Amino acid sequence: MSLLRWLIRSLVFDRRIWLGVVLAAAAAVTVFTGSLLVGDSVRLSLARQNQLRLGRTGLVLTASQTLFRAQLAEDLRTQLRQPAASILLLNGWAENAEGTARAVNVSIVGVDDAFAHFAPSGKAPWLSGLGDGAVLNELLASRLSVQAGDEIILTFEKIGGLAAESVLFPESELSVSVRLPISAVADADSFGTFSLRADTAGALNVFVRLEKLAEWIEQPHRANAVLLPDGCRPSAAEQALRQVFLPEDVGLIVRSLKGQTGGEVLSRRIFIPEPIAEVLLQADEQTVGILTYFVNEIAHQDRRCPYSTVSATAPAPSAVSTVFSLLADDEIILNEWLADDLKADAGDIVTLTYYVPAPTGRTLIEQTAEFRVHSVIPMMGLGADETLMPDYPQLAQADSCRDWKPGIPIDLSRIRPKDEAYWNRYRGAPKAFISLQQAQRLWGGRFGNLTAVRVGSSMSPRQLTEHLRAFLPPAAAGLHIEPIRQQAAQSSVGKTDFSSLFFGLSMFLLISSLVLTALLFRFAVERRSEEIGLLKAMGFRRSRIRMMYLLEGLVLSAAGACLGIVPAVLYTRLLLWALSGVWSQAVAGASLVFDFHASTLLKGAAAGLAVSLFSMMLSLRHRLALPAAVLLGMPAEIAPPQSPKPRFLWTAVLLGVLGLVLSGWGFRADLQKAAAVFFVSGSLLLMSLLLFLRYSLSASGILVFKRPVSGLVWAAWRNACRRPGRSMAAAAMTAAGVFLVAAVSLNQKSPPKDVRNRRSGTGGFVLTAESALPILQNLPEAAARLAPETNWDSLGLEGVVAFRVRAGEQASCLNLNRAVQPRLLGVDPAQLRQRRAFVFREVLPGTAASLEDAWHLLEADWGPDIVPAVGDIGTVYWALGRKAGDTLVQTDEQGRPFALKIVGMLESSVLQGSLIIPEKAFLERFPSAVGYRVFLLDAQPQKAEELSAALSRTFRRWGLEVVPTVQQLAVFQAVENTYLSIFLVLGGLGLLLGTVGMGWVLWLNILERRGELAMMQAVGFRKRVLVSMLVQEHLLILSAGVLIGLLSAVPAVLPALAGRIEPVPLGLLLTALAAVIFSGWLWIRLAAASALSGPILTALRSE
Amino acid sequence: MLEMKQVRKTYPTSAGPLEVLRGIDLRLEKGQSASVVGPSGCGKSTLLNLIGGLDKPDEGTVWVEGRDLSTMNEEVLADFRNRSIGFVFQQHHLLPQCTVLENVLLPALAGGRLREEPSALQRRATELLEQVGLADRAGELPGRLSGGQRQRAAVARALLLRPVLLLADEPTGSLDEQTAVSVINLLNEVHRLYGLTLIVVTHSALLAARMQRRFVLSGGLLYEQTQDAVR
Repeated sequence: MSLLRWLIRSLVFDRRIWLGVVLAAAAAVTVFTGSLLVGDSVRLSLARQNQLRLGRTGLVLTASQTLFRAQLAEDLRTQLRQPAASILLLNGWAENAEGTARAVNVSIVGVDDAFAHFAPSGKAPWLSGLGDGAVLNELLASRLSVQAGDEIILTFEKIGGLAAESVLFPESELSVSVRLPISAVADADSFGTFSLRADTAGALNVFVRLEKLAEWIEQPHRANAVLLPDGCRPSAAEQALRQVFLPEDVGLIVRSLKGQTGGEVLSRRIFIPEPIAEVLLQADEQTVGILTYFVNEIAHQDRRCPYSTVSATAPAPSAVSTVFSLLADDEIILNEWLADDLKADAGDIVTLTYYVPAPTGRTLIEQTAEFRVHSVIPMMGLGADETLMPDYPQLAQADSCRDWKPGIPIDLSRIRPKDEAYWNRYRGAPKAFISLQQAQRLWGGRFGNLTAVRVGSSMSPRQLTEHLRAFLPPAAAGLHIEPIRQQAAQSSVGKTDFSSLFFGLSMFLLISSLVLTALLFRFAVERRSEEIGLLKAMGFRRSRIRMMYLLEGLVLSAAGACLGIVPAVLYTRLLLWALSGVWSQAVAGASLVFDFHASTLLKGAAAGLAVSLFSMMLSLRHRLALPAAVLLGMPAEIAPPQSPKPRFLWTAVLLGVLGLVLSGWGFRADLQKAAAVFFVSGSLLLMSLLLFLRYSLSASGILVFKRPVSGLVWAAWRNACRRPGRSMAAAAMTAAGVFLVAAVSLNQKSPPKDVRNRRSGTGGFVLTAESALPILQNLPEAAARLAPETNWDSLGLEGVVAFRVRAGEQASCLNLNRAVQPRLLGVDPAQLRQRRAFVFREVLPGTAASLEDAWHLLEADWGPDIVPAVGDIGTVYWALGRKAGDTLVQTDEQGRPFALKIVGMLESSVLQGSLIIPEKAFLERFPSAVGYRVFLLDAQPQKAEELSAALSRTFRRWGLEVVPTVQQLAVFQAVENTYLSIFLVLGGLGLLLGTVGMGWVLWLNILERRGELAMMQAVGFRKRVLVSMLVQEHLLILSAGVLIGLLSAVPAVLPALAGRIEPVPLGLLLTALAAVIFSGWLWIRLAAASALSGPILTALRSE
Repeated sequence: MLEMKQVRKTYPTSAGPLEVLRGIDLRLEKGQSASVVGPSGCGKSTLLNLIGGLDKPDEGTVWVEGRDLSTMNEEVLADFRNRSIGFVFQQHHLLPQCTVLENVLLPALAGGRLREEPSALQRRATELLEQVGLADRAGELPGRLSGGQRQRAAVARALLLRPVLLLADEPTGSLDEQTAVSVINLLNEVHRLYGLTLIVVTHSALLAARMQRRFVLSGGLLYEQTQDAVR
């Protein structure tokens, strides 16, 4: 006889019971491992998605402000000796030829043959057939219902020239539309899903030839991104870039001046960005900065000269600008032509009238400034220098003044023949000159303060290039090298740990299987009580006995672990199948594939084994603590006392008080803790009430046994009190199920009843809109201008809040990836403050802001390089993992890091997905992000549909999509509700397993009383009466469970119910409760029927 | 060998505290045999459990082989029981999953002695089975033995580790008369053969009469027959 033999004999002898334990342990392992496998699958699917979208790309060089030479990729390739591919990436929208399907936020990707190097397989067969057509990725082709051979119409932004919000930008320059045949549809393996952004929804891509796309936007041979391979170090890439970039790669044009010494540097975007201008001005001692502006009018007394250019240069000691060194800020120099035209001379006052853009937006404001004439210069040299005028689009190259089409209102009737004559002879030569300081004050802006820099004769173009390479950090010029592969790795970890999530969602299922394991093990151990008593009597130490039984438990758990692995795989596949189908909203429609690390199986099995063993240990503990005499079934005088154990009562009171205190604290706890606090307080209350029930059963047990039986209900209650532990276990199963159902169903979200309620998730806005291309002007004004025939007033448009957009990753529940660069929205906070739109969930502690009014926090100064930001709970807390007070470091267009400080967090709202920052700070950080693309519209709900259609029609060219805010909100809420549904379904499975446990307890209870029941039958009780008695007895327990479950769910649902605007989903709760009660009743009936089914005699004999 | 002084034991019941033993004094010398009789529920088994260290008195002390059981912690007491005390219960409590021989060897599994001296113990177990007349049933499961045979096997098990004190609680309580006699004979035989101290709690007058000293437990007090109350 050895321990091993004893073990084998015990296992074989009790094999039927052990089989139950093994199956229950296997269920625990299945659930545990399944949760881990889901996490693995999601993580690996995201990693795979990122691999497919990036292919072999490791780094990407992007230009935020301008376009660079497509040749730059070739130069980098030579320098780095690694593949490089230039691409031109533009935003736009697409529709099929019939106009029946449209997709916005489409990426138009201009590619050349080098792009194929970066495909996941190193091949993109469709590239060779691209020609003059377009290749769509599968997602876009399906969205537009098109295939190879069909045609599409593409509309995309026209970038690279004058910034769209500059005064002279012509709106016709905003976008280009082309009609293209579809050459092919690219799948993911051939790089169809290429994207620089980690977005679960995937990119909508149209691939066209790079050179074609560049031509369409009138930026031939240009690109705005270079792909570099994985393995290329960022530092090496930056070093190479510094060695090969040319002035034109940062948007500069270097030219020699006709008839003058030295050269001139201009910007393709007209204004030279500040950091570049600073470096250029230090090129040599003769360098001067020039700002030339287009003014509406120059007037002296009643004489007016329309539409002229006025120039200014820095007062540098050079031949070009010595004349300006004496110029005061209120003085002006006129050329001879203008002086004659205005009949003005030195000392006279002239007035300049000009447009400037409003501080935000592209609304033009006409302003005037007065100057005293300093002197008049002749019509030669500087006085007639046409090179000073920048290359304003649709103006500088015009043959005649009447061909001018700049982005400002031009009254052609004001142009006199002499103006035409001046244009013909001197083109755009400035007619007046003021000091540079004054010019920059009047006309400088976020795009730059200079339109040209002139260098002395000592500086050759080559030297200028070297100077820029030496002193201009590429990032300051808007050339950023991003470790995109590394970022993808960070984002593919995901914002949500799906292992933990599904572990949490399956918690009830797991607990049920563990309770079942413990219950069956305990039952087996109880059956062997005498054996334990004997071992104790024979001198076996308690530790030895524990070891012997746990050894059995270990074998059973191990068997369960092995047995649970295969179902775990099936369970995972089932979950993934559901996540790809009915629950796809929970994973933002991501395509998930079953994949796992082998170690996960081991981890899951080991963890499942450990928890099963632990549950067995707990059930063994009680039995081991009993004296040997009791275990050996000694006489009645030493039977355990029947009095109620006060510790149950005290523990119940303690847990109850703790639960209530925690619940109260939960309302003041920060969000991170609140959810856990409410859940824990609910659980504590649940335990408290169950212990109280346990105590009551013992206490009233004594009471009822002292009194004679006086009816069936009394008898039923007495029986329920006979085994208080088991009765409590049955009540606990029911209570936990009800707790789960109540907590989940009451947390379900639904859109608000009143869409115009400012405190709801819609912010009181009826419609929300987003355009593919920026809308430069105020939306209602633009609408009135574009569609004057529409009666906008009758359509009920009451107001608009417009947001600027810095493109970034969607930081919402619709993106499984963790957003590294979240999308930023710039807004004038006053617009939201005045409306008191949305309710804050949390504001920065220590501020005077209330949850109803905290938008002013965006207007406060938080210090240098700190930008205040607000986001909704889904974005800040769940997607970014931050809370109020936290910061998020981002980089601006010029490569300068700055901190986004979360000053407030909104309740769940339509603003989910982005962080909102003040427009002023937005423009400082992202000056090239022009126009508005996101809008919230105040409108009359009953006319919303009509208004929506009119806006979509009017702004069709911009790809404007208008949707009701409730619909948008429902999309976000659907994700949350899907998670709750998953919780409910998995919880339901747990409940099912739990009811097996409850059924088992009931069956045991009734089975133990078979003899008693048979005896009652023998003395004349009818079966019907006995079944009724058993049902009543257990219905009492079931009712107690339901009541306890409901009471303990109160703290868990209070946060959801407090201040709730949406209707309370009571229907779901009542249905689920009915299901729980029905399930309990069914088990009772089955157990009772089973116990009373056999012959009376057999039962009596066994008794 | 065994001494009890002023041992009291009370149990809480739904009707209030029940004092089962109200101050027991008892002294037995090494090698003596004794029987305790008394009506059902009078506390006989409680007395035996206190002597065997399966339960602890509320008051008073129990010495076995000069050692105060109340001073021992659970682990030490378990070792002491394993080494010095053998139990025979009314129900044989043989493990149904183990063979007769394995059941006899079971006490040796407690302290790991079976691992240290397996052949010696195996030999002794076989000898004991021969002695109780079950040598030919050593490989059988208990379920295939008769009631008397099971009780004999239980006696063999109690003797495996050569205890100095053998406690038998109603050893013949569930046996027919003929089988009971054989068990009584066996107990007397092992008492004589091994020189151990034997205490038997019983309802059987026959068995009680075969013991050297005879006690009656009544009203919580212990009286020695043919004499006045011990206390």
